[in-house]
Amino acid sequence: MIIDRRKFLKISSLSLINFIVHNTNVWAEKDRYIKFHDVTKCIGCKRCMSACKRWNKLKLDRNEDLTDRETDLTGNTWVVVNLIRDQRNVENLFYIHWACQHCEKPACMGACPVSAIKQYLTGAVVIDENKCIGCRYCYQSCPYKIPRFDFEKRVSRKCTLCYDRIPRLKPACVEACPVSALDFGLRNEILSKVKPLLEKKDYYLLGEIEAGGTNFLTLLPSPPQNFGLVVAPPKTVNESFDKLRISSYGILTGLSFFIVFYLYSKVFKHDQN
Amino acid sequence: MIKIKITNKIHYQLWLVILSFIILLGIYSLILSLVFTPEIFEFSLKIIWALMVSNYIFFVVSGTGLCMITSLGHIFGIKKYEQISKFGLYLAILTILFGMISIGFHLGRPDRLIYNILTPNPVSAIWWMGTLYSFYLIFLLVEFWCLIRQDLLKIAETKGGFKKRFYEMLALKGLWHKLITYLPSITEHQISKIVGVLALITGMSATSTLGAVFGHTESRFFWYGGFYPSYMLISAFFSGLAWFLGTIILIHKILNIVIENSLKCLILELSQILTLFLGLNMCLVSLKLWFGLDNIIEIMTIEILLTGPFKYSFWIFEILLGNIIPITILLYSIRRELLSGIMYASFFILLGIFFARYNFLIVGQIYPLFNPLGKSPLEIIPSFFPTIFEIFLILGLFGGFLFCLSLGLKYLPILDKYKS
Ligand code: SF4
Ligand code: SF4
Ligand code: SF4
Repeated sequence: MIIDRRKFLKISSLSLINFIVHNTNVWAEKDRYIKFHDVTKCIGCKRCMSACKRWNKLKLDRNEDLTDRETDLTGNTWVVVNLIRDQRNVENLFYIHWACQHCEKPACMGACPVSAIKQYLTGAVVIDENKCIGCRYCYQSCPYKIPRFDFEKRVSRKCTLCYDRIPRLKPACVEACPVSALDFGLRNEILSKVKPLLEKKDYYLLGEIEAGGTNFLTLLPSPPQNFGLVVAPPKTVNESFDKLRISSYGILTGLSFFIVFYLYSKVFKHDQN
Repeated sequence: MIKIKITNKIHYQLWLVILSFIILLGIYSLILSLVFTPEIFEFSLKIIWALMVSNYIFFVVSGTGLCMITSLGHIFGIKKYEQISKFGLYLAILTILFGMISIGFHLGRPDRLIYNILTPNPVSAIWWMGTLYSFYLIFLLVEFWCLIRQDLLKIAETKGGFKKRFYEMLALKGLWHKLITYLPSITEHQISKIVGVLALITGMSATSTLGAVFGHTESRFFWYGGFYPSYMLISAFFSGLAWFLGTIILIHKILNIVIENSLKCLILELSQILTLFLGLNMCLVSLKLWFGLDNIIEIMTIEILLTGPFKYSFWIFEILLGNIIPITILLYSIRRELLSGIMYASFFILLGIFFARYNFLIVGQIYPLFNPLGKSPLEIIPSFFPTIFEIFLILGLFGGFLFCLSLGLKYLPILDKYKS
């Protein structure tokens, strides 16, 4: 996909507006860039995994053991491709490309105490490795448990949606895919391509509504639960109001303690024994 | 003022030497982690918050409890509690300090904590917790210093040479007089009271925010919700009580100091409150588990806690040793005014709380894991037993805690109200 000058100018001006009003919602959904994985096309060659390692200069993991089934994300493996059986339809096996979902309202970003996680206007959610203090709260709050701790760098790391290649180039993994199982483009364009498929077949588009809509969509031949994938709830998981609501329980308990202490002190003020 | 005499110097020194060895064990594993990899502290990539974090919770939460108890004396003005202010505050300072050291070992890059100030994130519970605890520690230190300043000056008068200068320096003898001229109408006691109120507010908010750190993680079903912000405060209060009762009785026994009648009455009263709170704790834990039964994933988590690999840790340590046995001992000892019984019960409670923090932390992280093969829950549970180096480090931390406590008892006027 090539981004022409008009689009580029549009991105830049919207960035500027966003910078001034500091409101990510300015970035309308139709202008968001997403990565798309069509599970039914994937042949499991894992070229995306090596391309990602090459572009991001990721090290080989100690005891790195590339298997078809149980490769897990680590601080140095930001994307994995595993062969997964459809549990409701056991003769069907599919390769699933699994990485950060780049949520529209990222829980990880709301959790990071030092604001090391930023959301770019293209939709990419990126950890600033020079700022991260390595508390791993992003991992705890991410509904997909994506950011992994790199024991050598002592920080959390994850897929960046190749924000440093966009808009000149597509993400490294997308470009490496030999069968076009991966794609990258404007969200509404990709959605309009996929929607007819969803209507015809029993397919499921992971990321369309989960976690408020994510910038990585996966087309699955059956619901994600059949593949044992973790599915985030449809609503956003970085809701400040919800956080306030939960904290208020603590505030109420604290106030109750104060009241009890005060009453206790009124009764026993001069009690020596 | 009566200064405590450590009657047997050799015993005291031997005790310090033993503690130093334990601290060295901790330093050894810390150096190993810096030279090789911090992986020696984390037993799994998936259970990413481990023993250091549970130890942090154990320390800082009970520290807040200690601050709450001492506030009854010199903030809420209940006379009988004033006798424990200095000791309680010293213990509170040590617990928060060692809690912070513990979390420092857990963080990947503690050297970057400056970003907590430079680029704050006010929607992050950890940011609030870190900031509030930092203020809390500062307030506690100022409050404690104001309370012991006059005593420090008195000690300085009885000493000579280097020791005199040391105590005068601790009391900021010259500097404080210059400062006080700018604040003519405020006495140290008033300052300590104002700062004490701030310490109480920041400490309690920080502890409830610690609960919120877990309560906000929507994807961890076992933690999510308003339960932990409240529960942390309640458990802070009774764990602070257990710390206080256990240590104060133990110290009086070891140093052979007679427990005065007023202190004895207070200990008995606090033990009654502790028993009540233990009962409340059992109810709250049951309620938490009961309400968890409406969510399929939480049911699996609860199963792992109650009947899975955590069953011994939960039933034996958390429930039996941490609640049922202490309640029995306390009920028996309070009626007979047996202080050693109260002491043993308190230490059992502390042991139980240590395990309770660990259980809550680890079990909460088991779901949801990426489970591509549809394995059963018990198959995908990662290893949860701490590594030997983690255990060394924890021992080192407890060694350091006891070392500072012993030094404080000898050199600072924290117990000076009682006759030896
Ligand atoms: S998937 Fe997780 S790490 Fe990625 S943006 Fe969403 S919350 Fe953050
Ligand atoms: S590990 Fe790093 S990026 Fe993640 S929440 Fe902590 S400081 Fe932020
Ligand atoms: S988008 Fe970039 S960083 Fe993310 S998985 Fe693909 S190559 Fe790696």
